[in-house]
Amino acid sequence: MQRAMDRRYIDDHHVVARYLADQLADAEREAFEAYYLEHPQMLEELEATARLKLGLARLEDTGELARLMRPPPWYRQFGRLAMAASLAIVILGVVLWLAGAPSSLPLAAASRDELTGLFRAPLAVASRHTVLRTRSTAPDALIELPSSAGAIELRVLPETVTTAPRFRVGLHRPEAGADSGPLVSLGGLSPDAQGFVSLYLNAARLEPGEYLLRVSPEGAGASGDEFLLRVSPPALP
Amino acid sequence: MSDSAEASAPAVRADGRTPQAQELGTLFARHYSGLLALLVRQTRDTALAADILSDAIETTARHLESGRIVRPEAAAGYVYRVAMNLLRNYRRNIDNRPERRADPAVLETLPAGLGLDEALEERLARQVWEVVADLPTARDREIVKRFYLDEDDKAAICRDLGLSPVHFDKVVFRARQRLKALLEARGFKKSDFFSVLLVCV
Repeated sequence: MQRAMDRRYIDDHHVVARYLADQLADAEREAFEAYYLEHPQMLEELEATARLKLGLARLEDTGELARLMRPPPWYRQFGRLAMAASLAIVILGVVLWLAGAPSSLPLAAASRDELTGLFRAPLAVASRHTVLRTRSTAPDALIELPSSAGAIELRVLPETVTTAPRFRVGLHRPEAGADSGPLVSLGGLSPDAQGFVSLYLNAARLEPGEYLLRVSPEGAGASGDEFLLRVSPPALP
Repeated sequence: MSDSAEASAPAVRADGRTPQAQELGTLFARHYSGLLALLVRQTRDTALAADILSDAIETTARHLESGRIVRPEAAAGYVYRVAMNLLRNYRRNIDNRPERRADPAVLETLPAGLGLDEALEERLARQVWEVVADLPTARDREIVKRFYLDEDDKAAICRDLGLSPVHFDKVVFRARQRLKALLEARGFKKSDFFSVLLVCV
């Protein structure tokens, strides 16, 4: 039994084109005519399809349709492929450039590998510093920035005796205020056999000035230690 | 016919044309050039195509006047239906009536030449060119040509080109939507037609 004529049926069975081509059975044709008399907007569809047929006939008369039917020549297809490949290379280059730009690299990381972007060699260690709590107002570490890109390795010995297996380290700017958030915060750092916690700073992103390094055992309510770092600009050659 | 019916009957001009037929002819020429073009292409005879359309318009106008068409907005559909029936009859050689000639007044409202404005045909051809060229593969373009121009049926096209019916539907749907968007972007909408028709009826 034939389904009732509705918009879905008309679309699914290409009724408009078949009607204009006089390919509908009598019952289907009568049902469609009744439908479009009730739904005048269907005439737009009829008219658009009639125009499509007219346009195709005109293009056939002028020979343009035959040209449209031919697959594009190989060199044009090759041209498109080459253009797509070029575009992909440009995009990849931009992504890599952005990933490697100093401003997109982290200020500090648990390892040297994490200081550089994708597909880049780890930074060489420019200097190593052991950071211990001193009993004076002097900085706990004096760091001179290298004249070229490099990683600054810090080995920090927490003063608070703890059995915590992991530490969290935050780097702050003292002048920013006590409540200000850290410039960078690293968690899950394991101390070595001597109890030192290691981290790396990216010299290219570090500005001269004073910094507070807060080291605390991970866990609720754990207190930590603060270390004052003074970073100086590279020495003149 | 009663006096009151005569009083309410639409005015018939001295040349026998009713205002409705005149208006319908003008509006069809302006808004439904696709139908006339189809008739010309199918009959290969400009005069006969104009006859068919004229006949359909006259019939519809009479039905409007007599009240057989209650909803004026359905008038365009009636013209379409009558024209398609006449075309079918012609094609089947059942009701080819050479003695029925077009109303010259209605014919005057139709574009000259092949039955269509040359510029309009060219504009349509450019729009269809865009639609066909936009199809991603030569095979998709072949589908559209065979279905709409050659009027091959879906099953035969799918069989010949090794297509799934779903792929066929997608291609035809895409072509139809694209053309519709192009036509609408160039102001092809029937809302104006209906509002004018409501006024004239």
